[in-house]
Amino acid sequence: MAKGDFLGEFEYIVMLSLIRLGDDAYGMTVRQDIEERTGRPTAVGAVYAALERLEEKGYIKSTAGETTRGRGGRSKTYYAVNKTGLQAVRQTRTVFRRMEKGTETKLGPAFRLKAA
Amino acid sequence: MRPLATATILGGALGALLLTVPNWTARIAEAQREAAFESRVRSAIPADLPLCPLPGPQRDAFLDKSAAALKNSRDLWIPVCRIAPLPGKRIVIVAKTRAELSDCMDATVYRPDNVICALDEPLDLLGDSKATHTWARRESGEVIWTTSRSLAWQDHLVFEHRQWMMLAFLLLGAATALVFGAWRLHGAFALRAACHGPGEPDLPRHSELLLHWVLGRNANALPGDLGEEYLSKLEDGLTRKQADLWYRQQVFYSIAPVAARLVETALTHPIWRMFVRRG
Repeated sequence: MAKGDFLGEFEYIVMLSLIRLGDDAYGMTVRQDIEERTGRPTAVGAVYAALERLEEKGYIKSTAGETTRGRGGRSKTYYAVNKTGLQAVRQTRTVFRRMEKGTETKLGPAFRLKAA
Repeated sequence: MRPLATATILGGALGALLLTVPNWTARIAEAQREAAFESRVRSAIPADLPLCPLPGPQRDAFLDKSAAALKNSRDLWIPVCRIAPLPGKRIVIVAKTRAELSDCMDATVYRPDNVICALDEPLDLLGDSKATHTWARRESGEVIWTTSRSLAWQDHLVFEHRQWMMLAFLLLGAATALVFGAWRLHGAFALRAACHGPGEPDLPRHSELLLHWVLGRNANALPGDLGEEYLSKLEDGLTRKQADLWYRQQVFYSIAPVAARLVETALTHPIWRMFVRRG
């Protein structure tokens, strides 16, 4: 895997959020989704910086959307993960899983989440 | 091209300029001073110049005093004294070093009146070679000249030119930043005014301006998203004060990643590919 294909931690999180949100993925919803699921405060600027970078790498595609109340006439920008992006997410996930192997004794079994 | 590579190249180029250009400009400046001396030597020299003391501490003190008294002169090089011929009918003990001269002078008890001590030492160009600014002295024919101003010479001159160059870069950068900042601020006011229609939330003014100032004209979605979420927070029951605080925090924490992204974009601009091969 080429160096550029591997996603950074925050880029990976943003990509997962875009996949989950599907057609409703734009700056505000992505930010809220990340904040809800990670539990850490997330600035919309950080989300947009990651989105721009991902688009530049060719993993996502943006389309201009409609404007709604509160936006001051500014349109939304929707983002969708493309094939290359999905491949990058898969590769990153594989790398994480490979790296996790052999750490279970100290970290506990993988993917066991506490009920909220 | 990676931003780090571009930043390294730009920094390296700036460093190379700061390293080489002052050496060059300092050489030019010293050549101009030399040319000024050559030209001045050819002009008329006053007949009433005093005689210079013999080489040694007395002459050094005399030259320093003479140079310090020339502050208002327009010419760079001024004749200060005529080299005195060695006195006749006397025995001259020529010392090769200052230490020898000192020994000769100290031996006054054993020195007859018709014996004098003299130092055979070429005139140093600089009055004080360690000082950052000093008077220079030159010998031409029978006359000793000195500069009318205390100036930087040699390595000190290179250092001074380097400082001037750094200051020039700094001022240029500051002026560019100021003009760019003012232009962006003008744009931020215009953008803010354009987005405030009826039914739109009254966002915290300074934070909104700051956001527009950082983002510029190209950003459309980000301020829109923040405005939309601000409104939804008010509708969800947050007080105005709480929503304002949330908005301010969002703007504050967004500035660093947005600014970093702007720098990254600038450094990865295709124009830099002229200088670096794509890695």
